[in-house]
Amino acid sequence: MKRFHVVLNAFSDDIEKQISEICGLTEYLLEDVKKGNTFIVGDGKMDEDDKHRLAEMAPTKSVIFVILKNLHTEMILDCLMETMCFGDVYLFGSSSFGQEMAIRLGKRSDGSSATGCQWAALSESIVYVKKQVYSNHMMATFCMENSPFCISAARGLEGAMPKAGKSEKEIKTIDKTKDQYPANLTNTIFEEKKPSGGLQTASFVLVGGRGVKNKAGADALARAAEGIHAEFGASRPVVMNAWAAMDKLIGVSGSMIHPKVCITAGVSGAAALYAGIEKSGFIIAINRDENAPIMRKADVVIVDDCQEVLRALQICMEKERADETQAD
Amino acid sequence: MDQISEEEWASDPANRIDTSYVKKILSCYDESGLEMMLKFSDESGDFGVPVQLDAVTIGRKMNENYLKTLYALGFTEATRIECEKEIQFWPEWTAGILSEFMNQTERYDLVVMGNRSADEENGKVPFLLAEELGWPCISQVVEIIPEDEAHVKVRYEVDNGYCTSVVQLPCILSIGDVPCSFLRVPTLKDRMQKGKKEIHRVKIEDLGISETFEGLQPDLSLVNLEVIDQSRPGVILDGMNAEEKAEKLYQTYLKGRVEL
Amino acid sequence: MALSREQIQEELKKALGAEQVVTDETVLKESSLDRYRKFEQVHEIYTQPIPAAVVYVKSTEDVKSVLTFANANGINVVPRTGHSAIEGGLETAKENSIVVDGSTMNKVLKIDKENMQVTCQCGVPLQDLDDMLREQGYTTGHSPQSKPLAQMGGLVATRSIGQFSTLYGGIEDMVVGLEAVFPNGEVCRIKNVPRRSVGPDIRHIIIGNEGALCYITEVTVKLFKYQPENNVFLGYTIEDMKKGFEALRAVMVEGYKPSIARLYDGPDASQHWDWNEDKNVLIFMAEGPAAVTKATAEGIDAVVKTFEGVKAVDPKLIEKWFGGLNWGAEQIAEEKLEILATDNIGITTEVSGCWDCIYDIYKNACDRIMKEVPDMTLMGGHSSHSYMNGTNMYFVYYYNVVDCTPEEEMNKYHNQINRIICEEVIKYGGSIAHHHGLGKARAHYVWQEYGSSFYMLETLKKAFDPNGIMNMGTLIPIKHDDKNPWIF
Repeated sequence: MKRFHVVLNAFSDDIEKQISEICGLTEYLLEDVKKGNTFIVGDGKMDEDDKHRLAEMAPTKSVIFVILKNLHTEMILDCLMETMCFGDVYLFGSSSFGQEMAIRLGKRSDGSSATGCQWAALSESIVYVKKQVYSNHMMATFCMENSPFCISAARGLEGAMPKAGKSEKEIKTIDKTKDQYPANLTNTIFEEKKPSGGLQTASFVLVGGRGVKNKAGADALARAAEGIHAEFGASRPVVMNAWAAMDKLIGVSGSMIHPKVCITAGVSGAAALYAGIEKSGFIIAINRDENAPIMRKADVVIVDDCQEVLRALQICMEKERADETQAD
Repeated sequence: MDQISEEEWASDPANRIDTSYVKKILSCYDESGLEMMLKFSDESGDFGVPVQLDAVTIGRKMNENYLKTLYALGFTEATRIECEKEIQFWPEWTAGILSEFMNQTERYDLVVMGNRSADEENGKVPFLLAEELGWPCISQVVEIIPEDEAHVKVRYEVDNGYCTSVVQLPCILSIGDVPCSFLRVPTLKDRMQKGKKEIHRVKIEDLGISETFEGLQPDLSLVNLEVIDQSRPGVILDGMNAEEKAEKLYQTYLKGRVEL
Repeated sequence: MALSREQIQEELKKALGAEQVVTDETVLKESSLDRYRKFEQVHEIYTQPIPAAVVYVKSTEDVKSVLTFANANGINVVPRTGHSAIEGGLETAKENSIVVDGSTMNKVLKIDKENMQVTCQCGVPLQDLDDMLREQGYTTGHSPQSKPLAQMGGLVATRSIGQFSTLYGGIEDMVVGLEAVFPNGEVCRIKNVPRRSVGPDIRHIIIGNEGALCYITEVTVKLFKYQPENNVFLGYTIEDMKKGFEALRAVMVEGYKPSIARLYDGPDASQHWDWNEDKNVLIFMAEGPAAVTKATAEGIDAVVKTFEGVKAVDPKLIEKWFGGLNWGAEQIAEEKLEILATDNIGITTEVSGCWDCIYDIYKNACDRIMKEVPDMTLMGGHSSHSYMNGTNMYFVYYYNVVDCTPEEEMNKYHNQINRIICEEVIKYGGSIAHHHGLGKARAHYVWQEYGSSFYMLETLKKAFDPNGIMNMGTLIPIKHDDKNPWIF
């Protein structure tokens, strides 16, 4: 029988994301997963409340806290190796920690590892995984050869969080703070990633094209972007008309963006512009001209005046926001 | 020091993508790593730490073009481990061969390698090699700075930021996303003068690896490969007026995708 | 008295409305140059006079009113559409120029399938036009590398040529009729007919005028059936470059009409492929009805194989390469970062020559550049457009910019390389510009290029642009230093 274990990194503050990724990976397995352990590695700063809160989120009944001085992969590997049984499956998040742990644990235990997986499933006790290969052009399905099976999730995977169970969690703690740590890394200085902001990192972008018609139209669109909490960008004709500043330029001579959602407004879809937005997760095109090339390169299209639609969208989202605040 | 290029394996008749017509290019990770090594070597003079840069690749004769470029840029030794066959989805094989090569040469204390190939998207080789050698491995490296004979300073990306640590050698550094890192270009003169140096060739058999690659079996076996549809459907959102369309847009497509 | 910058801006706003007149500093700077000054451009260094305004014209009437105003006041006008020029044609060489941008005139006016011709305004992007036509089973047959950026007016103004020229010809073979505005406000239309014998072909005063005679507002080009399913590809390596040119010649002389006929030298080929092992590469593509492509391909194959040192390669290698050939939108973005990071820059210069001298031009220019110019990292080229009497040579070269400022780069490297190429071409009687236009840099060789026929060019310029307002410095330099023609 296979046991499914989940390994979470509480040194990072995105435990919920890690769980969501693992749930996304194992949608079909959740029932089986429950039977294993959730290992949560963290430092001594976690108090009982923290632990309780984390344990509640864990997808398994049994939760094992591994307390470390610092995030040291060797120590965690030792700990996982000690409790390992034949046939075990270990699931990790998408971070570089998850990836490293999956690969090293697989190798060290003579098992197998798979990284960046979109999906994992069990069929007649064979473990299958799916992952994107060839620069995300193909989806490959692999069967994993040797037990234990160590799998890390793909970035951006999202799954339904497990509902808080009625049954009590079984919590265990392994304290490794007193152990001898190999000192191959010293004088570590940490700098937090500054949110760089701007178009390059924005997750929601509104791009205005020639269809904004003039400076006033571009300004209105920039305000609409603010209203829907999107970053504002512009096509080459817009900046070359000085309707928007040059640093708003999207496309081959400006920013190449990859937001989750990109709305184009009055953009025709010229190749130079499209190259700048094609890595977007989801593209919505608003244009009066239903034959504009962009309309065949978008996920969703609206044939209408872009200003009117965005004004309406802004109102709709403001209302939604107000409702939500009230609900809180 | 040693650069290992986890090059883009390609083409196999059964169930593989035929990429043999595509010109092999260095992955951006390899390119970043190589430029980092050259910069490291430029700077190490100031620290009084002599550095020798070597390069190793596994693969076809065509890969030697890149080794010639590296000679022209100032690398000392370049080796190709000969393999005309295309090996894909088998990082255990690559790591195993490299580990044998390292054991035989016994002269390296720092290995720099790209973190993954664009084809396989695994990122496994650096860690597997680290496990084989029993060395530590730092991943997502973005900068290498000289420290002293036995240490280097390394900047690497972690989940919510960057860390800079002094790292004891020997060690493997796996290169991550380095913004805007291109390998410098040698002049034709350098190519003529330095790029003609002989490239060492090593046969896999000479590394003591059996023809059946015993002990180097892949973790994963490919059972299916399908194209991911990249086209966008262009669903038309209809409505009586702009308000109705906006409402539909929000409720059906934006809600949950964007923050309010 | 010459009008001040502010007066020019005011008058333009009065004539066209403020909305069509842009005086934003960043836009003006970006409009003072083109990709000839690529190194300056990526460093955001602007050495040329900054124009007084960029005006976006919406109609022939708009163009007429701007030109008339400029003509009356002696203000230099630089016509522009897609802004993809690479020979300095878009540099604003005189103080207070007006850049007249036609990209807003972007309507496809008529697709005439009966007469197989399409009429569009000057600002129609070629990519959009051809994509739209292909969906309906047609094509313009024009596919230059600038396709994602270039627009119809500029393509005609520079005598552009595309990848498939050996079959479809250059833009001059495609244009049937046009509309253009001259500096005095005269609007001339040349009607669309299959052929005429009514005196000189005056289309050629407009085609290739590079904005130095008139402003192109409308063009009509031919349509062709688009039938890519019949394409056949051929590829070879060939030991000797000279033999390569001979093979190209033989294919042309025997009467075959491939759409692509290319000869790459080793260094240039190695940028595209690695199977050639540093050897020269010949590629062909036959396009058209199935029976024709089959016969063309077989015929070419037989001709090429008679040459010494030829080795056929799997046509699939060529076909796949061609299918995946990226038109460059991403590369343009990447290029800027790469230049800034490595100080390594790549540039091209295209020339032509008859069969009896093209190899000498190629060989001598390459040898001299490698000897005379420092810090070269790649020197090579290819022939990509062949004719009955000769072919072109597309020099491709890269160098590291060492020990000089972005301002100095031009005279230390780019102009020097251009000079050597032009000198060699002139020496052998070739043409110094095959399809990018003469622009402003190579204009310094206009006298040698034209010889005694310079009289005709000069007379045209004087007749159509007596006040000297049309893209001054293009075709004919404003200032010329005989001793150091390449320092400017």
